[in-house]
Amino acid sequence: MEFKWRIAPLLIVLAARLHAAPRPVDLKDLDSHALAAFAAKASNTVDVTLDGNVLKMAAGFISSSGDEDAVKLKKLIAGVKSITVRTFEFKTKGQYSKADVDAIRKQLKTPEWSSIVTVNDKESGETSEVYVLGGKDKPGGILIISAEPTELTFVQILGTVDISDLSAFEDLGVPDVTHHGKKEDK
Amino acid sequence: MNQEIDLETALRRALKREHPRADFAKRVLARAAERRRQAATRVWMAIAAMLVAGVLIAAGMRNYELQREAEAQKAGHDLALALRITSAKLHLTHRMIRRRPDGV
Repeated sequence: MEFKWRIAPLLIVLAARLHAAPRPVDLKDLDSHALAAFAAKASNTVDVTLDGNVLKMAAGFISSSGDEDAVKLKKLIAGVKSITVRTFEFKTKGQYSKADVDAIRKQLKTPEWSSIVTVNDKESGETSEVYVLGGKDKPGGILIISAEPTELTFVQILGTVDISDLSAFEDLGVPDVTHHGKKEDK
Repeated sequence: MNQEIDLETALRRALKREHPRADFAKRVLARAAERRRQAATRVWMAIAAMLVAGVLIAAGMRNYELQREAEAQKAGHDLALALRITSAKLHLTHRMIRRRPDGV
């Protein structure tokens, strides 16, 4: 009985530490001021947040057709916990600075994320960075930061997902709804 | 003795058979008919209330169903959009890598 009371504080400390274990910063929980600055200057924005039941509902809707592509898609997102996409399109170049992107990257790229590719094309002014969460063989998430002269995109997918399957998504027969949800030109 | 006679007279008077008024039967029948009418009205009102409740419940369920369907449709579109953007950015990264002189 006495022994139980002695280990109780240890268990509490252990539980607190486990709870406080570093977790990847969710793009949707990011400081809204940081992204609001981009949104204020952007001519078009895409803001998609899918998690929990909404993601299940979305998967159910797409796979309800039951065709081959829908089955592939359902399989693709089976292990996904959340998908967050923020895209900002600008009418002219120079609407955001590298420092602005660095500030976002600093918040998002916690030590759990490993860089798998960073490409910087000085001629076109495009930069693309892809990070994975955990192991590269079976990543627990993908973070994409794509900075083009007139477009800035942040994508964060949490959960198990195959990058090659994700790349092949364009080939799937899902209708192009790229302009859905964009705000009107200012 | 006199008291006994008085009592008998009083009893006779009290128990004397009286004929009802001429419209008595008519009024009793009218009241019975009114009661039957009221009972029928109550039954019909209960049926009508049940029908209205049924229609309201069915309309509510249909509305909920439509709302869920619209939410699912929006979520499906959002998912397609998110995956399309993700895929496009991965393709862009691929193209950028291939454009590099070292071709890594």
